[in-house]
Amino acid sequence: MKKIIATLLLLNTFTVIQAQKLETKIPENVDVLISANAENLFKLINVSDIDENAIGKEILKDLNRDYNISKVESQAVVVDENEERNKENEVIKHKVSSVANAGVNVKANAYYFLTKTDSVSYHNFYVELKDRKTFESLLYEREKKKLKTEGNYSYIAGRSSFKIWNDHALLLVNGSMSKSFFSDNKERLEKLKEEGEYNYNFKRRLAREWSKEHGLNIFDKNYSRSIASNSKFQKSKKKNSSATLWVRNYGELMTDIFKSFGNSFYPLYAEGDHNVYGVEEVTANLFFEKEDARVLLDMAVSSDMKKSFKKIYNKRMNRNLVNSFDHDKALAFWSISLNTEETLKQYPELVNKMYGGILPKFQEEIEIVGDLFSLVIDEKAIGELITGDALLVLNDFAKKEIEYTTYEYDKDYKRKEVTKTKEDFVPDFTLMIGSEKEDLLNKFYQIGEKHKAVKIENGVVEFVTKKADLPFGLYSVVKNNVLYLTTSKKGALNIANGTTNFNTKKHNKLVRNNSTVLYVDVNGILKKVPNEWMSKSEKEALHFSTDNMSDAVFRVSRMKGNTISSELKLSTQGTEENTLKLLLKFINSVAK
Amino acid sequence: MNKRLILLFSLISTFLFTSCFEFVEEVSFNKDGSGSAVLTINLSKSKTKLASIMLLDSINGYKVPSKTTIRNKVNEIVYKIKQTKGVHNVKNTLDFNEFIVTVSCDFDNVEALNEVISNFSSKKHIEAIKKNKHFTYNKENKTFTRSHHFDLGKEFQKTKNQDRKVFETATYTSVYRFETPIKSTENNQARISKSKKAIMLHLQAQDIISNKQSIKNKIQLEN
Repeated sequence: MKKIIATLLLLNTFTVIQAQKLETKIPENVDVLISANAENLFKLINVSDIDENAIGKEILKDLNRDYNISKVESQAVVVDENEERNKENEVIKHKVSSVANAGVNVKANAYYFLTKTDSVSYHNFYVELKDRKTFESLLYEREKKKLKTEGNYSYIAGRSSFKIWNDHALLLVNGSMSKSFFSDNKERLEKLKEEGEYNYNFKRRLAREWSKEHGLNIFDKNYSRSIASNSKFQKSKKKNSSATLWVRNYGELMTDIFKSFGNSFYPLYAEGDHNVYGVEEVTANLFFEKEDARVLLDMAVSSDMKKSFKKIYNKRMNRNLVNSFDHDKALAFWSISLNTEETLKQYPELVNKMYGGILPKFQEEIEIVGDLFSLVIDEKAIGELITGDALLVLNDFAKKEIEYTTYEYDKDYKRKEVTKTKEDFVPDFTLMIGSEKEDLLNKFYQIGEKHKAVKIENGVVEFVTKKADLPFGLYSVVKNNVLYLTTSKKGALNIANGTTNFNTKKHNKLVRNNSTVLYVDVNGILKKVPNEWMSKSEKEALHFSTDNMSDAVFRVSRMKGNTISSELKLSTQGTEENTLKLLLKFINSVAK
Repeated sequence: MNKRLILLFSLISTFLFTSCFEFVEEVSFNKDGSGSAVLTINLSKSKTKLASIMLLDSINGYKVPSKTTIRNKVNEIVYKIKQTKGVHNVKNTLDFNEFIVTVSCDFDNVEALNEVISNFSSKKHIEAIKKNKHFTYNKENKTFTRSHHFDLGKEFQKTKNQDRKVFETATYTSVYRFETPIKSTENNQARISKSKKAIMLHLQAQDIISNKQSIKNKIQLEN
């Protein structure tokens, strides 16, 4: 089992020459599908790269587990009812020298897919076989004992999974029961229970039996309507992608999952049959390029929520915020840009759609709450106070002298309390919040000054905080329709006087074209953090990063059509041929 | 303003730092074996980090207790000590600006101190403490011994790697004072004062954990 999973995991990171072969055997109505695109993966690496990697070595070690114990072992124990004949066939077992020689065709796409009924969820793994005999010889002894052969296929109904294969393919099925199904059909199911059987065992037995039935039913079946002809899935596979994830309908899937936990856990989801999240199809692709590794995720928003989402997210950040920090020096930043006024206006409708769907009986009540909300809230005024633009920038780490208490002892070892100083690193950051109500904010600070919560000098507001509460000073400036909060007094003064001189080109487009961006200059931060207390492995990871990595960006796009795209991108210095090779190198360096 | 967000950033700076703390144990003995003890845990050197952590909900998977919870816990401990027979005048301080905790008490004899330790231990440990007392004071032989019943190194191996870092720069200091001069000490790391009436042992927690050094000692007093 462990071996199979390891092989499958490996395959999952890989993958389309004969792809179509298996795709015609996967029914079209799957809920989730992951495809490891072998052709694209093996454009990037060779099988030998895996064999020489720590993962490959681990797999090979497992495959060759019996090799050193007993070299004489039957190679192909196919049918257990004919042991005598098998003994005659005993041959010296060959050592597996490459993961490509374990019977599974690693150069063909591998698939994971999820299929559901109201009672059970089936997790299925499908891979191609190229050498059935080798595959069978590498099975565990205890599995071989359970092996059954019917016609041209063999199967093992294991305790936790069902395995079935023929000369060309292997399917692994793992079933998990729905809790709510059991509670809803208690009486009917009680009759199937064997005498004295515990509930847990009964559920496990049913899951096993149903997984077997499901496996026998779908294995090696050519579907006229398969995922090979599912245009949505086919479209979701992007060029050069190493792996593809496709979710038919995310909102429905989540609702189903919550419902399967049963009424007692999620009473809200038990009723109604709704796409609560407003998210429909989700696709994701993984890419390993020369200088970056990326995951690109597209979410399709349902048509009834599309309009609301568009109004909320399709806003560009005010340039005053984007131009208020040095893009070349920033160690990290996080930007959010949404339309507060529209968010408040759309909120009642969204709540109505989400919760009205969950609690259909209370649709009217929920509507009234929404209407009251609109009535009480002045969306425009709030939208002016907080526009919806926010930007948090980590500028630097500053050294700071910190006083602390310790002890000294006199010649009679009498203790004396003394104050010493040490250097500590505190972050220097700036938080910017878009606001068109400068007057109101200023008034607010003036009241603060009256009550001695802040001090105002040269247009800079200084917060009066106890040292123990915050390890740094905090300053604020209201200017250019932006509320600034920063730890740097100098920075605050420069903003107040308009004497900033920032390079503002580098991230301008990135921030303005996306509704959310999280950027981290990995090495920039690592260089600033003292490493004297790091452990050896942490230091190794640090060196690997400074030698190979560059920066990391997570962004969520504005809405295009009915799609919101997000991307996680790790940029490297391009030291290796491609980032998959770099990943293997990284695994080797940490596995040492 | 999102206070939590800012603190997240302040944590990045302090996250990788190990905290430094001092553990100080001071015991003064009278001739009859009674005396007074003060236990101090000083985390002042890490106060910036702790102040930041205190504003979070959890760190490294541990829930961060509130000041009230800590105060209640300390009060609970003090209450338990007060209940011990032979222990009087129990006092404590808790300073959240400097992050220093002290607990002090007077005792009739060292058995009372052993009893205090037993009161905070599991049944299994209580048995071990009986065999391996933390404090013994022999009036006739004029000897004082400091020991403990557990293998610190072994206990330490059970903790998570990540958590062990906390102890990397921690120190342990013990000062024992007597009315009669000290003749000899078995722990060669311990230093006897000029007046010969006090003895100090200052160790790095790392060395105790790795069993390079021990807090155990046998002190012989002059007759």
